[in-house]
Amino acid sequence: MNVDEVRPRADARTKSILTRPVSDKIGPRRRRRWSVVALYGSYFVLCASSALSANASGKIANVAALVLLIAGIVSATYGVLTLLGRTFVNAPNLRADVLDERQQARRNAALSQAYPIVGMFTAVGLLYMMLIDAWPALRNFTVIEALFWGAFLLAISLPSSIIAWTEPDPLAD
Amino acid sequence: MLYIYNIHMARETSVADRSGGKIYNRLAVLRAERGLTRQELADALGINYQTVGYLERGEYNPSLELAFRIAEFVELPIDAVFSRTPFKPMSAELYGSRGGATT
Repeated sequence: MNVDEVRPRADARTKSILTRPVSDKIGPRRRRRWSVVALYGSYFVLCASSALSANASGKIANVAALVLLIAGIVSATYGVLTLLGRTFVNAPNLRADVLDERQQARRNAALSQAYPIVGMFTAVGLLYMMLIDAWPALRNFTVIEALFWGAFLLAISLPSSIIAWTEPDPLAD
Repeated sequence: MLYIYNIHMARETSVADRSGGKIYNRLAVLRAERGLTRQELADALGINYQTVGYLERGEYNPSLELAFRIAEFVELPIDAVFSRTPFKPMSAELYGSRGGATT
């Protein structure tokens, strides 16, 4: 099979996947807010699990860390599946040409609101790195890990979370 | 804290207010006259049906391009669909000049 024959079909397939319609089914605002709470709650639960497993010893501490780890993973999975799907809520992670002009305006507003928060969180991480360079006694791998994952989580999910939190309940047709 | 306050205020301020003034429209009446659902109108205009709702409630000011598209779809001049001042009710516009006197 010739590459020149396959490429147009592959390009058309890729384009059809990327430009397929965005779902209107964003659900009620109350449920979307629970998804946001679940997603960011899972971050704190996983940080607690990590800190517990790193610092505490004994069977009870290990079991508690494991329970927190499982709870955090379940909660994070629920948050990711409900917020970061192919719906308007996840507009910040979708192509502009699948959104109408109001949705693009909402997406741009959410991105501009999220950007400084992600920037500030990253700045805190960089400041911590500078501090541990000067005072190695402050070095704590759990904190470094929490800062890294926090910055990653905020970067991928905060704009979508802002839309999920603020978009009113959808109208009936 | 100031940043969080700004986010809150941005959310409380409608899109129409932020873009420098409310644009009134007759979209709800025109859609009802034509017996269209929001979804049907949205499909005809190539927008999301939620956006039709936002337009009808005056919570979103359309771009000039969308405003022209809507006017073309309803086959009316753009100033019959959109205005910077509130529209009078259709009945007042049609019969108001007669002073209420009918035979």
